[in-house]
Amino acid sequence: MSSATCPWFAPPEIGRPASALIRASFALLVWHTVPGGMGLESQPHPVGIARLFDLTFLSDPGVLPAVKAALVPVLLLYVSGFWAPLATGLMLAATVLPGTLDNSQGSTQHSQQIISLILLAQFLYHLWAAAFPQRHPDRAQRERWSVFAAQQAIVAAYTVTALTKLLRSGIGWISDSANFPIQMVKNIRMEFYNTLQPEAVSGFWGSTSAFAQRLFLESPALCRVLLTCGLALELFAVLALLGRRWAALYGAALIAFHVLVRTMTGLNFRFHIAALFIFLVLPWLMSLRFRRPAGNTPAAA
Amino acid sequence: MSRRLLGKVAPLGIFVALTALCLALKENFPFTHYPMYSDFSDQSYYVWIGDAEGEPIAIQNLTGLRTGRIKKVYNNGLQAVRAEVRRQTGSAPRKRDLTAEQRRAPGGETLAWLVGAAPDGALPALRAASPLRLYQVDITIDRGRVVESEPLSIAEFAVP
Repeated sequence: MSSATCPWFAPPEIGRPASALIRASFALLVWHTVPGGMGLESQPHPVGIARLFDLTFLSDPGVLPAVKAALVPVLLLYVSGFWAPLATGLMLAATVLPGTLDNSQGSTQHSQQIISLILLAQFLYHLWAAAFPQRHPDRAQRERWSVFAAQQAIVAAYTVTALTKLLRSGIGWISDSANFPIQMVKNIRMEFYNTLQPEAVSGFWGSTSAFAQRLFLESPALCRVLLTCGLALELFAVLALLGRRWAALYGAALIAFHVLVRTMTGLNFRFHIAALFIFLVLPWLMSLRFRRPAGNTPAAA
Repeated sequence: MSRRLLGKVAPLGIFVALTALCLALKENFPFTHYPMYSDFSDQSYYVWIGDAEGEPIAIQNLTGLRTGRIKKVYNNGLQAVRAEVRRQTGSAPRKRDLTAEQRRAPGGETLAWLVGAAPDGALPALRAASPLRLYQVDITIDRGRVVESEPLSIAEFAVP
């Protein structure tokens, strides 16, 4: 492809073993995302499809255990790579329905949307590929694009995070970020009142948070610089789509960012970290293990 | 945009579509605009649940529900009160300026929601602690120090 028509952004070059490992890893993540039961008998603040349908049937005894049992063959189908539109569609439903009911309680959780967004992206891609089979006739090509669709969903989530900050607070977000210690205190205190365990305040997370609070209160400029770096990382997340190495670099940086925020606030980002590792870091790691002969990697970098 | 430039960014259709949908649809699962930490106010608060004596309850151990989630339900109630005041008077007070009376109804609704969302197995312990109380603690920064207010009892709820 000439440089004039070669896109800046292209799906990463991924071999079949790497592709299978990525699907298996994500299938495990989806399995952990779907709850085995819920005790929510109403949806007082319906969101998404709960505005149209009553989803409280999911709290009936036996419903979600049956969903999880039915999910096993679906996940195996997904890992196999066959019937991808069906597998991703069912997985999407299995995560969106309980997630929607959970978020229809008047308190929005933000830990699992990224899993459903990834599945939505893959579902849409595979529908498109099924509708226009002549566009991506090769299975290996579809597997690469499926990973690329997931990467785009992840990058979209981080871009939205940054844009929302700028749309709501403007550039003043940077100067206001010196108030971050307030959020750190809030999170550590709420963690304590969850369990009343003194470790929440005096344990590792509490101690590191207290240290960071003191540091940021003594040096608000340092607080602003660190948080602005985080904002920039989110805002330019699209760079992760420039290729396999960029994806790995950006994925590692975002994982480090989450670990740092976890250390300072006690907030948990396990689904985000897992998704970043599977779709951004793993393709590059697998390329080290399964190197192709030179000249056979059209979009390797 | 030139066709050449379009050709270079065309593979990003999913990224563009999901970004636009998340920003437009905001909090409609699976879409979200991730509003956390988008506004660093110089004041915030946290909540905790107390028993009839005002002693804190390890609410996550008892119900599986976390204080962060309880706060979001309460906060939504406060936003509804602000919206109602705005509808009646034309301007909405800041959350921190709401009166104790204006906070009471959202606080009571939050406790009622908590009891309704708790698993059946937690109800005997919640009844033993009844009436449940919702406490709010305000946090500010003053002269380089984080300052927390005394816990303020917002509402109470007798567990049926």
